[in-house]
Amino acid sequence: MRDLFRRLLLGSLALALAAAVWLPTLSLLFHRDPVPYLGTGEAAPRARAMALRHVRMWTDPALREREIAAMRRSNAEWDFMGRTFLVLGLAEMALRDPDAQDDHLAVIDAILDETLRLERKHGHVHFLMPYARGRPFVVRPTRSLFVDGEIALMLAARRLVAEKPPYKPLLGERVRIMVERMQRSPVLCAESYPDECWTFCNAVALAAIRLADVLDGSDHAPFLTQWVATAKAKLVHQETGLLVSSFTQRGATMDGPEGTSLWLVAHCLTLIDPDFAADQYARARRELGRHVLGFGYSREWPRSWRGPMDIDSGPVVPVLEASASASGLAMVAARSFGDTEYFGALLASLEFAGLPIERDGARRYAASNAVGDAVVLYAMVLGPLWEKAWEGRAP
Amino acid sequence: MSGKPPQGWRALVRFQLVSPRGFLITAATLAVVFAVLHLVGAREHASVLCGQIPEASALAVPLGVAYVFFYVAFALVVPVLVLAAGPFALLQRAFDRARSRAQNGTS
Repeated sequence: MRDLFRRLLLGSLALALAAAVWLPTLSLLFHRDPVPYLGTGEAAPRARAMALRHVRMWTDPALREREIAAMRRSNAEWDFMGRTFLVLGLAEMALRDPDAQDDHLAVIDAILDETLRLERKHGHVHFLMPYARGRPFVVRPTRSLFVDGEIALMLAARRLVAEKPPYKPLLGERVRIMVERMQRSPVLCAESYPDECWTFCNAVALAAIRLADVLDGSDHAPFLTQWVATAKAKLVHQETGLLVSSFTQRGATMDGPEGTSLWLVAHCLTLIDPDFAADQYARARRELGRHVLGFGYSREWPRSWRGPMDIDSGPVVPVLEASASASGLAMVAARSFGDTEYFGALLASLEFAGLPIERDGARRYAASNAVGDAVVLYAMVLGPLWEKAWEGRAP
Repeated sequence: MSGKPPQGWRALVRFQLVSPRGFLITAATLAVVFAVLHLVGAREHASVLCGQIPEASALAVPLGVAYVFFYVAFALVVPVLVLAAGPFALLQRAFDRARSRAQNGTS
């Protein structure tokens, strides 16, 4: 017995020594030179390899059917959001590399036309989770800002790369409907689900409205200013100063701040109110951004509020409270705000925990899915689209 | 039939596992299982990590979960066990030497 106790003691000591050497070293193996991921002008090689995976999906009907079915088995929203982030990513790549613009636009148009067809055929609920059918929306007729906002953003992104006349009235009409429905709420937010508004969806809609102003010469500046003022007054979590994630159509908070909302919200708000966006990013970085042993990740919730683990958060790693979904979106925000240190740490985590697979020149992450990969692609290439909007340049 | 585990197994659990050799055997076992899972393509089913249910095949989910488990073990535990085996052996030798010196001193 004494011998076993001695072995346990000495073994534990040896394990502690080895862990002290190995664990801090591990992240060095996964830290990467960001250039192959980010590039400076045209899209970087890694980004092109990731885009290739999606382009193949959208040019091979059998592959597309399989990938979309896999996403829809878990969450119909992922099918839709995968389209949005891919369109945004390809639009950014088209602006970065004019020689490849026609190829990228062909895929973007295929995605948009297919999405609009499905919307016409099945309505918004096709891209929503089943509980959207559970009760009526407060504002009738039934429309989800989740669907309207992201379709509007896709249309606007496509048109910012190169004008496509049939898309112009589609964007204009959608913006008109979104603003009208948002104005019917005391917090200037429209529903994504019945009596359920999401900051994420409203921020996406605001970005689309802002891009539409650039494209079509409309002026929603007073509305956008009023939205920010209202959000600061009514949609901020007291303890953290972060925007809450979801609330009723009248503005009663349902979910507090969440990483899966906040990072993209901050990115979209840079088009609306850069100072407020930077403030939200700084707070999110403090409350949610974390490093452990050289790896970066995002918590889903701040310490002062904890929500339920759900399909948005994905599985949350116990103790660390790390969320893969929130960490992916944190890459978008880190890139958007030029936070290269955090971006690099997130990239190390992606390479370690994402389980990359490269095949025939295409790259994907096995631990992710098509929407997660599209988010990462967007994080790697974003920049020119928002820059165009800031400069007020229509194509 | 006795309710006790077989003698060899007990010895492995009580002594061999907690030894430099046991560390190396455990590390090798984890590495081999991970290699087998990798070779049979279980990495393809790792989307369980993000909450997406892999392919409709009944084996996909357990394979995905097992792959993630053994990948983490391979990346975090195996190197620690291998690195620890050396210091463990040295510590044991030093301990044994100190004990025998103490015993010789008292006898």
